[in-house]
Amino acid sequence: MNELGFLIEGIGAIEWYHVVMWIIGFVLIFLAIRFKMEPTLLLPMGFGAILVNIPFTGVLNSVDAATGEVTSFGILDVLKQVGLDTGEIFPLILFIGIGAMMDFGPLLSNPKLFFFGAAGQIGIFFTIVLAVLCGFGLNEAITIGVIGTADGPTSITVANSLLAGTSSAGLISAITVCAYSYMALVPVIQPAVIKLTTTKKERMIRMEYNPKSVSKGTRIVFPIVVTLISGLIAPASVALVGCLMFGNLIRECGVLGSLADTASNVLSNLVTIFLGITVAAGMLGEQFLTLNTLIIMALGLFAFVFDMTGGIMLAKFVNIFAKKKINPMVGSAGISAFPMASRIVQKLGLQEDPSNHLLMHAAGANVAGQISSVIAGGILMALAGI
Amino acid sequence: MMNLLSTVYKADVLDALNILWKGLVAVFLVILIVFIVVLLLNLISAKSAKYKQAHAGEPTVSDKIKAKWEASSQAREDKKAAKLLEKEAKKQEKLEKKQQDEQDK
Repeated sequence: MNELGFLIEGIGAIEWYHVVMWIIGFVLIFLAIRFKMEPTLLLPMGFGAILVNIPFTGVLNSVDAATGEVTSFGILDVLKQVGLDTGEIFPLILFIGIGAMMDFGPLLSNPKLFFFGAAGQIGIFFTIVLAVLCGFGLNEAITIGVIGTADGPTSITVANSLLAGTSSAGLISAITVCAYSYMALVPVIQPAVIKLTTTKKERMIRMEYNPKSVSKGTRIVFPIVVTLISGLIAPASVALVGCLMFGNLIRECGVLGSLADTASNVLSNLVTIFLGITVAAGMLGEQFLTLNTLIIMALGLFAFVFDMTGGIMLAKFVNIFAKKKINPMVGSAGISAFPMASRIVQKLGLQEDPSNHLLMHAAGANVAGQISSVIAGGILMALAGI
Repeated sequence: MMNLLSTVYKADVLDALNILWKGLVAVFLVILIVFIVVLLLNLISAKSAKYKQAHAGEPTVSDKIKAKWEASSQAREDKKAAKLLEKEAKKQEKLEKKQQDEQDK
């Protein structure tokens, strides 16, 4: 019987934190399937969380305890090393796909909406101060603040640039999971923030939509100019902004239809599969289930809420002077969660007044939020000395 | 709370406040520049559309450049052909002269 003892070796090695991580994995999968919350990421992450928390798992590198040498390679560790630790390749490639999906038309026809994107980053910077006050180091605080960008790839890129190879590397997975979880929770968080910070009268403000045609030349020059401007002011942002804008240039140039199609469908789907499951490689129970993770979750929520509040407050401020009033709900869409944030504004607008269509305004602010969050990520890396 | 604050690394707080104002200013500055550039791009494209509308049927700048380029490349081709003809004629002349000399001999 003793000779068959290896069959129960794994069962005997189960610890409480393994079980908790399995439950977290199941919850993520449940949210993805039942409520369709960011299923492309939450499902691979949930399954990955289960995979890496099986005792003696073969998906991670096996390390010799005495020498510290890797005795066998695990697929998730290898993918993590290639896709995240080495130049954040996965999130950057994903940005090419996102850029190819994005239509900057509503924003280019109403450039005032750019400022809602900038205002939608306010929460990041206040969260950094709050995180430092909670006892986190400066670089840790910056990566926690970046959760507020509501942008998974930016959060991963900044967290990896600032924390990989340091004693705080364990926080990267908590930050990434937190960023994606809150992105998935935008349909819950955004309406609550809007209802808390606006009156019914404000939510009923009607906004005319007079789309000006945007020339093809403007659409082509725009990604190049944005890359140049952000690159010259914050060179650290070039990788992020450059990949996003490269994807958009492929889409808008009009001569690379098949490449744009591949980037926005096949490429982004492929990278998303790997990214989700690779992020989970860091969700080891003994490292993940700490008080720090809970604090990061709380701070991430603070960043998210204040980002949306920043946009709403800017709209209210503009309304003091403007003749044509802006519906403050549009300001709340100035975050990166595209297109979810703008759809929610449209839905809430229709709830208040069934003939008030805010989608295109919100989409403009939402796209501005996407650009601003990438720029904010680059600026933070520059300020941190990367 | 006092205990928490006393353990906070003061330099980090100052750095964080520094990042707060510098970061916000930088984000708004970049966005302001992008906003101005987009305004300019829209202005230029609107003016060019107006110009095109006003001069509908007339050749555009790119049409003129294209026509000029085609004309100059045609002229180059003609020159080349003329040179080739001249060369051929000279060759023929030389050959005839040689034949004449041989006959004379």
